[in-house]
Amino acid sequence: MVSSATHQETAPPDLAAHDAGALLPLTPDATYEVLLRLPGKSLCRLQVVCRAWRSLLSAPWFVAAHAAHNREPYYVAAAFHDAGALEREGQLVDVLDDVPSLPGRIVKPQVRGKKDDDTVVKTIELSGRFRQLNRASGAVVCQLWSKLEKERAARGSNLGDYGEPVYLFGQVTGTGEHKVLRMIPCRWNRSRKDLVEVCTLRGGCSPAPAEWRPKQAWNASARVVIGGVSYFLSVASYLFGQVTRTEAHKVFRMLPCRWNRNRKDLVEVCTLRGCNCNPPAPAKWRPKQGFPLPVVWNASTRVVIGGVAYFLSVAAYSSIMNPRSIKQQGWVVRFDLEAEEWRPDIRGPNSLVSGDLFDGHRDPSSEVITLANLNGSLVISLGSTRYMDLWFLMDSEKGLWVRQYSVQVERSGHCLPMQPLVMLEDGRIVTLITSTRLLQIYDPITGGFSSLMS
Amino acid sequence: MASAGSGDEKAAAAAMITLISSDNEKFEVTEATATLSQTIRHMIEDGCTDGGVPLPNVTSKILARVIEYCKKHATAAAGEEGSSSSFSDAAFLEVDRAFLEELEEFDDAFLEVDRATLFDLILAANYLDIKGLLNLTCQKVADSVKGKTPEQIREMYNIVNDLTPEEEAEIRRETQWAFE
Repeated sequence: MVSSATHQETAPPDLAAHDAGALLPLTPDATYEVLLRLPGKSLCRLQVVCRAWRSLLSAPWFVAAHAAHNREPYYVAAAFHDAGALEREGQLVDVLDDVPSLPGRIVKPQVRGKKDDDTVVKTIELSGRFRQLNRASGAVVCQLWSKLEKERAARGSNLGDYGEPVYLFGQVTGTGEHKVLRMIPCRWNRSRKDLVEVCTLRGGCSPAPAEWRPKQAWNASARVVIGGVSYFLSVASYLFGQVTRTEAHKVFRMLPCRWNRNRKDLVEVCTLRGCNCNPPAPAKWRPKQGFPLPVVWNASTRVVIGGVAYFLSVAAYSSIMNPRSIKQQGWVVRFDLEAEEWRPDIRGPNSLVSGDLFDGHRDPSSEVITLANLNGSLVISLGSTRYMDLWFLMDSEKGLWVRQYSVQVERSGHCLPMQPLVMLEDGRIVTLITSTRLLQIYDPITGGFSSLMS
Repeated sequence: MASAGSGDEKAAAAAMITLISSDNEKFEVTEATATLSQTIRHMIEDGCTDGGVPLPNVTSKILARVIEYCKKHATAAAGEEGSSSSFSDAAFLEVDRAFLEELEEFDDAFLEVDRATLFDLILAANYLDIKGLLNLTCQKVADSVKGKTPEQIREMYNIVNDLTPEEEAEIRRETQWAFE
């Protein structure tokens, strides 16, 4: 788990010490590049090749670097009723405000009274695979493949020009079809172009290749002038969220602007409109205050619950990674999507800070900290190769967190850090093994794990 | 010799860079092609490409292949930029898709090389810092390694197993799930 704000730990410390050059007929750097691209399972299996392979492949820094490298887009939408019903695919979006010839719309979302059959979990893994999961049974109801990595590599010359895609899941009211809208922020030399595509999830368990239908693209200049200084905008980051009271879908985005060493992150919000407005008005991006604290921006360190977007701060992340500089203040920052303003930040769990974290059985080098929405509660998950502790937020004003679960990861047989995705209706928790992208279901009653039924 | 069609308003597109391989062969490429390499991009930005860019770690045989890759992928980038103004976005994206398939075919064909060449390409991509090429070639090697048993890997790369049978059994127990 890594973000743009905390790159440095991916650097290979002293490869020569691991004699990595002997692993393949390549330089240590290049060997490392190859091995980073192996699936976690192969890495485990190949530890018995010889001593040098064992030494490198089991080194905590390598495991962490591998996990960071493979953080490629995956996404989890917790409960389906978070997403609105999407009408026809041609009428999805009006995020794209300067394409008046292609009016985009979204229907007013409907929250179903029943929450059994339309509550699903979807994950998009390293390979770009979606799995749709029935929340009642834990069974996979449909899955589909999408070679996002390959698409991106083929599309342009520089992978750094593409941002993290965001997904919005919805169900078409008339036909009951599930559709996914994805938005890929990208940047070409002089302009930004954020691609919008739609794909239909089909039933059946045989993986089908995803057919992404291009919809619109939002173009903008990559330069912006603030206070007389011209900044260069890099790839935007998006977040979809829904306001609880009005059920309106909103889009939150961060535009990182850089000029030499100056950095300013612009924050903007817009509303996805219902289809009833006629003629469809173009979406307006409303500038907001920037982040009150630096945050870690990736799919597993932000979550929207009840119309509030929560982001894990860099302070929380570095408190876990560097036990000597542990701080309790400002672990989570939050943005109210309805009022469109920042709320006071939330401090970290008390007992974590008082030293419980490092009472002997923990290894800060392999800690993974993520945010999750488990049954509507904000949860901080602290995972290591041995434990995964789930801290539930009880009182956001006082920063009161309670450790409701302490999961023995060893019981999964993998000994790899994991993070929670969603709680099934019977209380079992779907978890994701961070480095291998395998899904496992944890049963708190037995303490055991089972694989996802597919 | 301006490459017709692309970048009409961009005079910079016609700028040429000379790359010099380890065996002293010279290759003329456009700046757009050369700057797929971050290493060369930085040299251009620093203004130290007059008189050619010596690449002492790359042979002419490998450099020719690297340039072939960069030309194709630079065209991809230029094509996307150039066409965006003249088509509606939906049409542009359709074009994009066809091109994507073509690029994928190109990449597949490009990787049809022997193992030694593939390793040389990785070293060159790493040295020149060409992310797309590094990713493509490393993934190819990773794919050839990932399904193999430890025994097959030892054979492929002439690796002597220096673990004692007890150690090997111990590691296998720890990582048993990976053998299932």
